[in-house]
Amino acid sequence: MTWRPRHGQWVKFKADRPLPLAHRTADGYCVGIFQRGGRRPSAVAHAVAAGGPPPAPAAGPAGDTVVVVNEFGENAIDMVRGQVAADRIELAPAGLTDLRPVTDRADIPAPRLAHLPADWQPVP
Amino acid sequence: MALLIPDVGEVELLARLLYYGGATLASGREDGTLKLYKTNVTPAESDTAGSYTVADFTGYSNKTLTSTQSGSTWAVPTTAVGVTSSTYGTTLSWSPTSSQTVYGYYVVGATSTTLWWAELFSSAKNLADGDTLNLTAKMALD
Repeated sequence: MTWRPRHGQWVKFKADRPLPLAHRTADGYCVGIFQRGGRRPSAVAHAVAAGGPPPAPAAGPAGDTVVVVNEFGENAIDMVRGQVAADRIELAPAGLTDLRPVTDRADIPAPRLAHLPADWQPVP
Repeated sequence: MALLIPDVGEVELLARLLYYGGATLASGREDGTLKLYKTNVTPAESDTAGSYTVADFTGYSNKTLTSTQSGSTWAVPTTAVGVTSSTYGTTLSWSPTSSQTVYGYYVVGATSTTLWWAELFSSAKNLADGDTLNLTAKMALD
């Protein structure tokens, strides 16, 4: 049976393009969190700017994605010429090289695990 | 084979999850506490409440999701296209008087403080003095 990541599962992959802000494992993989496509948001949130109309809600990803994580365990952001272009980098898993589950705690950025017991390991 | 929860089971289980369904409980009922978080993190299976940093803009407060079924709290779950959901009847609202970016929300037990669920917003909300953030909580099983 083909492995399909679970929603929220830690995964890693070989980057085919530069991801300068991405966390790297000791064996050279980038790390991300799998997001199942087609999931309906549980909550609907919108911000109403002072003195203006509410902004249009941003469209969610159409399919499955992997959100790239930085060394702090937060979402790596996309920078274009020094400006923040997007508050996270979402990649289509089908296009990722050697996508696999994270099975070793050491592959996950330490700040993201500081709240867990020392012997905690990710579920494959 | 994996188990299957049919639509009728989803309705009953979601009702029990959110407001204990038709059960009459003298004690043990627990409300949820919804909190906005200000760190740019995607929820992961390994998370606990400690994975999130609660927002602290001026005017911020946690919100209570009362564990009852009523017009102003959780709705009776309904099923559409195989997805069973319940919406919280009161829109949660914040009116900051300072600037902060919030990325999502998480819900913990009001007394247990155990993390129940979390969700990253489809895009970050850059809040400023005079803005309003409205959030309608919704839980779904599919």
